[in-house]
Amino acid sequence: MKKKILFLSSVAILASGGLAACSDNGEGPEVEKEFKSNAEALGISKDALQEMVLGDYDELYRKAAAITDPAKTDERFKAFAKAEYELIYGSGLVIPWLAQNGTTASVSKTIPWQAGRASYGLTSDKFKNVVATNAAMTKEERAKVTAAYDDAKANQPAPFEADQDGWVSLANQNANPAFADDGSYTVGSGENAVTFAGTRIKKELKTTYSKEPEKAFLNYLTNTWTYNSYHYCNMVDGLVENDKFGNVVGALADKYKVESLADGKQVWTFHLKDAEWVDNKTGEKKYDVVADDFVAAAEYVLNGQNAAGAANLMTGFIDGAAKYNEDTSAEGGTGDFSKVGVKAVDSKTIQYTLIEETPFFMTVLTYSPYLPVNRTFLNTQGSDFGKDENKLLVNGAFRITEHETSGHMIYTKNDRYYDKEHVYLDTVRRQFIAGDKTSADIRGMYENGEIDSFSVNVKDSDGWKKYVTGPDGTGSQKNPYASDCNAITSFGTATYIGYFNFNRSGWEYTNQENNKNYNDKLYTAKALLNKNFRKGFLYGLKVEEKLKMYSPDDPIDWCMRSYTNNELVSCNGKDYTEYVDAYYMEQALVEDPNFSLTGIRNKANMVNGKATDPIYNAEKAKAYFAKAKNELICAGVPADAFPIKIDVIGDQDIESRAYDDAMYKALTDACGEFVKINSNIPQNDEQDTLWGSVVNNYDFSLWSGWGPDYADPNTYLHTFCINGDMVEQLGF
Amino acid sequence: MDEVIKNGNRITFKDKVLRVFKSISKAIHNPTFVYILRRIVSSLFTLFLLTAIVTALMRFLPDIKFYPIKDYNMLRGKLGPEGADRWRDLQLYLVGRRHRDGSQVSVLESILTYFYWILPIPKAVPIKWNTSYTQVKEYYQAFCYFGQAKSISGTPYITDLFVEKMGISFKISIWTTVLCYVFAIPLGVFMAKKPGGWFDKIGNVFIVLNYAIPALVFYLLMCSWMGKSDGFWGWGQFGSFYVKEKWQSIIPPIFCVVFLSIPGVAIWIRRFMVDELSSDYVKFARAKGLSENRIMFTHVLRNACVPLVRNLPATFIGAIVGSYYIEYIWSIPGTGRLLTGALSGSTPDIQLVQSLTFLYAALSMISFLLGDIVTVFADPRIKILSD
Amino acid sequence: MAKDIQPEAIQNENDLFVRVPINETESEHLAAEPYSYWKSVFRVFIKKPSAIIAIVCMFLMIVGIIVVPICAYEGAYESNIAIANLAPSGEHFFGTDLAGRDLFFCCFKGLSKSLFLAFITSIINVIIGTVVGLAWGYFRKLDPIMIEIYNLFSNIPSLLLYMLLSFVFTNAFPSMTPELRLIFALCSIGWIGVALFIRNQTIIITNRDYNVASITLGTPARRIMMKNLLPYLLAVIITELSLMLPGMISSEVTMSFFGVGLPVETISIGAILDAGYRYFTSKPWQLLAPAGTLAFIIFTFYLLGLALSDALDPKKHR
Repeated sequence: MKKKILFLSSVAILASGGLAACSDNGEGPEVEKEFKSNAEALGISKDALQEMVLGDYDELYRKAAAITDPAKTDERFKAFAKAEYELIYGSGLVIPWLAQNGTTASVSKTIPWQAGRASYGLTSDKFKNVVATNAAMTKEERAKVTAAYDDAKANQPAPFEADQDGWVSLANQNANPAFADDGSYTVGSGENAVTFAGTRIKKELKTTYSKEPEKAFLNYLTNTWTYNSYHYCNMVDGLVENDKFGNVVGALADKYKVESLADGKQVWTFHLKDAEWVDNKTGEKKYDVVADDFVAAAEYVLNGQNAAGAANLMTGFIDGAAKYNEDTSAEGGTGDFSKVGVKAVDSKTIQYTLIEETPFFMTVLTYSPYLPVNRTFLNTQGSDFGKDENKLLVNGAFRITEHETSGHMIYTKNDRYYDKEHVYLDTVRRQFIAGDKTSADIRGMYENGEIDSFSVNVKDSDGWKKYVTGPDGTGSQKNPYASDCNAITSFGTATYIGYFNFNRSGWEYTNQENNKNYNDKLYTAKALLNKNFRKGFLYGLKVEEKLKMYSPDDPIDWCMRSYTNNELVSCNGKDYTEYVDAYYMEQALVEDPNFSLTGIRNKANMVNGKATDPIYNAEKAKAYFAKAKNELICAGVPADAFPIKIDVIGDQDIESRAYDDAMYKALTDACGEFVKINSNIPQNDEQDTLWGSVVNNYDFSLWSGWGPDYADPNTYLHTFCINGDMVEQLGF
Repeated sequence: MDEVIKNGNRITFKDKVLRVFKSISKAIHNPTFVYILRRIVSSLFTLFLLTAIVTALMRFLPDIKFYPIKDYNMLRGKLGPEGADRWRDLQLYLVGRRHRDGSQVSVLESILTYFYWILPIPKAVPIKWNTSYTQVKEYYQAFCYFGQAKSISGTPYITDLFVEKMGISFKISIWTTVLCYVFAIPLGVFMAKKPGGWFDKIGNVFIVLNYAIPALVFYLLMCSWMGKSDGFWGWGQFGSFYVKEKWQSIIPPIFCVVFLSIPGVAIWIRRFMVDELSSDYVKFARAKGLSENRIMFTHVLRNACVPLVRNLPATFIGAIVGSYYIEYIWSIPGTGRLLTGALSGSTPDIQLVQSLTFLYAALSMISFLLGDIVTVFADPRIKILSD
Repeated sequence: MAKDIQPEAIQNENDLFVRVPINETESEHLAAEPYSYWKSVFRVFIKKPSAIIAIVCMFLMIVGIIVVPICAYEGAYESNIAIANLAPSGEHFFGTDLAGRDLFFCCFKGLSKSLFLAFITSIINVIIGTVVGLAWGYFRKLDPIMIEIYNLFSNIPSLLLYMLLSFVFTNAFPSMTPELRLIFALCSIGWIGVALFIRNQTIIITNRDYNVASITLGTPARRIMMKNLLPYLLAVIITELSLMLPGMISSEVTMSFFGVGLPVETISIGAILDAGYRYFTSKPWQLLAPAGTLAFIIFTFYLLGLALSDALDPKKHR
């Protein structure tokens, strides 16, 4: 009897709970009835608010972006630098803080500087041009190879000139040599040459991956997940790629031509090499690579029904693409593809017509929407295209011959690759590593010979002592003790920024004490609109504390104080970031003629031999906040509204939280009377994503960043113009 | 009787048929057979009820778990709300929660569709569409269709997936079970020989430690300790993760599991034997002068093994389920992570959860049944009564 | 002829003999002490060394749980990166973890929470399981149905059930605290194993003579279960309870691991363990502190369970 009652009651509870759940699909958080959004409370429309916040920057940006003449690149960069300065230091809209361009101590069994190198596109993940050795690189060897590399870089042959028909060759003048007959490999030439004997070379590379690709992971036309691009960039080549100095050279294309049309449009024509599509599993030839493959790819990407993630890389540049994409996005809509500027002139020539003059267009071609696909194959596969490695055709350097989920993957060299003499590995074995393996475990795997390279992390104290500091403590991260450990400076591939939510519409609190009432929200909204308030944040946030998590020894090594990353693009040998730096210095001197010249490129900021954060300044922050307070009080905000409550999203990981707390503590210690930081901790990854990028449950966030898609400052600065790519994070 | 004499010794055809029928009916009425049949029928009923409940439970999860909300929002910006909604409906169609035209699929319909798929009748299931999912390009002629695993790369058929991954999990579990019993039984016996003696005390300490150390922590420590190529375990070159070609790499996980499961069996054996040692037949054997070891291993152990033997089919078949932690830490491509992977990935994999629940439940019921039958054979006191 | 006997005196028998009244209670009186079950239990229990150790340890534990959090200094539970990863010393008895929290105070705070939850869950599970198991074992007619229900419940993937329950409760009863959600989730299928176990034991002892006798005499079922079966089962139940406790703690850890347990920022033994086990080789105290505390609890309860099960077994009362 008792058991029956228990059973029935538990069933009843489950059922009622389920019914209750049914009625509420959990679409979104409950919004307080009174305060719908910042814009509504302030009494203006969302667009007007956007104009108010981004207007100044947008104007400067548009002026700069309008300079498209390739001869006026210097002027263009100067204008962009002005806009970037306004974005960060003029309006205080974004606070750049991290770019992974620091130094790491690494032990590796590959010869450095041989592989293609670029901070944008897919080139840097390719295994083509990677040469592996069976013992780690020693310091001497690395120094020699680096010297040979620098020498070759300085003495690069001049870029090709157009021939009489206007074609410019895309041949790689800096190609690596093939293996010699005895199997040895030589870097450089002349007196700087370094030769690695055949016995030193090995043809199998062992590396790792930490996240298993999901779903239709190899459909490179729609997919934008980085974890998947590691794999397909080795299987499918595009028109161009980057060589080891960062220059754009031909992959499937061997020459190109640029013509300007009368109406301001530009036509880029590419001629293809002979290349083949092979079956991934068997390696047999299936089709030739023809120009129509690129047309088929463009049709697929621009078809709105396919919901391609990176379609904006086509709609932003190609004539007619945006309209086609819009037409096909409508329900049952059809578009006229013949109006889109992608044409196959003949089987070996492909032509792109661009909306306006775009001198950097070739760098855009390195990305996935511009990869080819065989039309027949795509049609037969239908929705199965890219579902796994065998549902793809391969025209690249490797085929994936073995894949065990959450186990390992094996790439095998494609014998029918058009450039196979530059593929120095026969197989690549990628081992799946579970997320909570520590750095000590990974070092153990390297020492067992199970993987071929690793970075020494300060948390692995035994490894740190063995490789970096040495038993006598003489080594450091920049100059490690062990002979086979090298200090490697990476170029950052993304800049992480802090930004504000100007038009917040969702409030969710895990700790109900932090709940804001109507007035709190209104005052926060008003405070955020004040430039001086934002600048107070910019100068008061001690990002050094948070950077200590990445590099406890030398946190400033990873600090980044401008938006566009280093080594992206340069004009006459001057990197774009130097333009930004110069403009910053100009403005700083205007404000304070006694300003000491340290710039914002952190590498130059040495104070007593130690790098410092060029921006952090507690007094300055306090001054800005005080100014802001006065202005706000004059505008009607009562004095008891201060300190203004700012919500941030906490980190789920206890360790990261500790560093965040230290950073915010520095801010509130100095400026606690003006601003108070409340941290909301999400309970799981889903909630984290929801708060960070969908509901925008924050007033200030350090959650996001941006990476370059092509080699022009536009790729970064376009993100914050009106209706730019990142303005969603600002609430618009 | 008279008829037989009348016809002599000729066996007519009618007699043969009668004899066959008699033997069939005897077989049918054999109590074991009836019992098995009855058990199978009720198990089937429970299986289907279970699958229906699990399907219903999954239907109660909200829609937003089944499509990546980030992509939805991005598309909302690009294609507008209608375009984004259409994409969302497509994603939900692909997991079976909406029809192609966007209307909701009711819970009952989900359950019945799934049953239709599993029933062993030939049917055609759509598996490939054209690029816009409006036309079916290929059907799969299936007998029992368990669905496709969407959370695994390559979306294999679940039956293929299971068969592929079962091998290694089964191998590990067989080895662990065998080694566990081989070591645990003597340990339990020696502990029972002198209850309270020093061997017993050491064994108890071992057992308490086993309870106290969380298994996960133990596995992690042993993984990093045994994986080192120099050091205490250097002679074995075990490696820190499982590589199919290297047979030594399977030894660390087996060692760890055996180490942690010995105490459980040892306790059971010890308890049982201590109880038995005060019974009459043991006293009699001692009086007759048999050695202690002979008594323990030959006579008492046989009785102790009966309940153990009952669990044996369960262990072997349950081995197919695999252990989550072991496979996670040593990167073993087995079945252990299938279920948790299906539930805790970014979107729950409905078909995989349903099918795995069904398969595991079926296996456990079969092992239950086999265990009962094995007990009948092993223990002469137990008989299946006919009623 | 002797003339000693005087016939008049014999007429009054009552002078010669005093009639002893019939007193039933006194006639039943034993010189020996009457057997009281619970007194015997106590006597055997106290004599065991393991029991004394267990009681002392439990007392220490309770004192620790009450006293230690009071002595915590300001900011012991807050993360403070400046004092992170310190080895045990006079200032920080168990050292600090990777975020700078003092492990000594955090362990005790977490201990109280984990223990409380595990205790409540175990007790509820055991009570429900015993009730169901007793009825199941006693009424053989229910056997086929109950076996099917057992098959049903034990085969639902527990992770799915926890996820669903936690989701349903968050939406349907938003005011329910996470702890209550956790208790409910853990109790939803935890009782099944206990029920099966009790059912097996019940079947074994129902066939004993004294129970057969009770049934024959027509004792109502409830009385048999309470007076005959339950005391015998008590030993088994208490051992089960003491072994269930660590199981509940690790279930709580697993659930938090999958995001359906306690909130991320609560301090519990499981959370500290999770944060500390990775760097065992270089900072062993971060794992040893919570694992040691956990081992201490488990050890105490194990000893207690062992001692109690021996004490409760009437055969051992000689």
